[in-house]
Amino acid sequence: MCPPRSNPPPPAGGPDRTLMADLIQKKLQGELEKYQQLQKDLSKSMAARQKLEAQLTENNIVKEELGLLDATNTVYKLIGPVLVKQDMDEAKATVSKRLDYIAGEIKRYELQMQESEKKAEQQREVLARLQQDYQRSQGKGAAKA
Amino acid sequence: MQGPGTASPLSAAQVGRLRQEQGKVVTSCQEKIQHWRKVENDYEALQERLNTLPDKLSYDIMVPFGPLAFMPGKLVHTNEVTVLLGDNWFSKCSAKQAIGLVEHRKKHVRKALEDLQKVMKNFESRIEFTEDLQKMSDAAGDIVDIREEAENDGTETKGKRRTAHKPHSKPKVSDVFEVHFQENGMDTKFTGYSQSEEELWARLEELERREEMLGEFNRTPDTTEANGEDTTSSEEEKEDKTDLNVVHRVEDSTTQDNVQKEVTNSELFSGQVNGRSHYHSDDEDDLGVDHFVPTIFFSHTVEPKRVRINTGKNTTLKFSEKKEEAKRKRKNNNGNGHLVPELPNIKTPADIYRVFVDVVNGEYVPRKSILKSRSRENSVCSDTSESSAAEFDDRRGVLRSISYDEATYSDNSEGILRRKRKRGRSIFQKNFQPYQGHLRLFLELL
Repeated sequence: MCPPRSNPPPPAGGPDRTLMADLIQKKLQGELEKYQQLQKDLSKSMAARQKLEAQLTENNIVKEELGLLDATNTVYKLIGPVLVKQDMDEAKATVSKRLDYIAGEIKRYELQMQESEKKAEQQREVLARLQQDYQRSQGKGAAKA
Repeated sequence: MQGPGTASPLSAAQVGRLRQEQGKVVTSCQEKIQHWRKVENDYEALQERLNTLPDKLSYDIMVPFGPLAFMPGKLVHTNEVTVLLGDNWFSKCSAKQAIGLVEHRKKHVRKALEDLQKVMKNFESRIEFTEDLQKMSDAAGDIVDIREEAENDGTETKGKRRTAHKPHSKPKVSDVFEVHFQENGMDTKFTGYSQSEEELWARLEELERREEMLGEFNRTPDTTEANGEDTTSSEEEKEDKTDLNVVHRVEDSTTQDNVQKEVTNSELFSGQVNGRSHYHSDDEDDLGVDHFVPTIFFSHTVEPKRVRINTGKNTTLKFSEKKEEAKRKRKNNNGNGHLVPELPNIKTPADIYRVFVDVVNGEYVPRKSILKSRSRENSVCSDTSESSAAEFDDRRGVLRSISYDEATYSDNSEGILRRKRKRGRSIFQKNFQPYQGHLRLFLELL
């Protein structure tokens, strides 16, 4: 009597309920995927941010060490396989600029992460609601059966 | 009660998981620490090398030629060092400057090491606490709450827990754990308000309700005690024990479980040894343990608890729970029985036993013939049977005559002891069926 369904076993009665349950399930899956995607974005941002933090520390150290040196030392920059001679002050300026750049990037990623977090939170709520609906519909279906 | 008990955020599985995660953190901390230590050592070696390098103008060395070959060569310009400053920046420095740079880097490394160690210590103590929590919760599974409605109220039991609540019973944990654990919440401090707060309040209410139900047997040991309500305890007599109990309670309370029972049981036995009012603890502890674990309602029949007190040659005195009953019955009657100055806390006849049992060289030697003029060291009390201490006073008059007769035998050896024993028994068996062995003791005491 009940039309064969792929997912939930058809209850004895109430085809409406199973239909609803089916729909809800599909929706649930969709939302779940979205949520997973958000999570992935979040973790990517996190990884990028950590990398930037490492770079920040490193550049800080370079800055300090450049400060320890005096003008008589020559500073080189490694560009590919070549060590290119740099001016001491120029080097210091470059490093400072890089530091600022990194700090800005970190802030950007931070914001991105917060947004992702918010979105993920919302998605979680949606998921929870859907799950509840699904369970209710399943329960009703079972009751009817 | 399912509510506060299992409402604890740290169920058994969660506690296990928490412990695992903490363990992971600690392990990772340790690895990092190792790594940084290695780095530091390398830097030290480097400094050494830089120090010695400028000693010679040039060194004869074997230069690595590709991965598999070496070539003899010379190390020249020994003072010029090209240093990698980081992020693809290099600089030519003298050896001394290089040493300075290395030193600067070592500072960073040391700082990282310190931070890691701090974190590790932090988590180690957290782990310890979680483990305790786990143990308690594991044990709690075996522990069943036993609730006993005692016939006589107040008096012996009581409230000892309320007294000296030790605010710092969990020293390690206190400041560190505020965030996620209830340990501090359990303690007097209640500093660590966190997610556990709601549960704590729920428990508080639950326990308070129980308090009201049980009247003086309020033991809302864990949280409510922790609140410093302990000081309201009125049982002065039990102070020492209460301290004991409280300490134990507090310890247990931190685990949020009803492990007090275990503890108090141990206390019980220790109490026996002390000759203190362990009966009290018995009662109290049984009563006090009502938490959110499954509850057994237990009517306190005196379990024959045998305290073997070595009373001299080949004789031991057994305390029994029957005495406790008797003691209870006679509580009001006897009150302070014989207040023997040796032990201050005598509220019941049973106490007298304790009083009369001195610890001589670690052995328990009952005081003989307190009421008699002489007292013997070697107890003739060879009671190995249980008899209640009831009707103590009543017997006294009767027994006194008998005991005086027997007193003459006191100086003799065991044979006389035995004889006395038999005699005591026979007499008593005639008249006082239930009070067989112990009455002997009474005799002696009298």
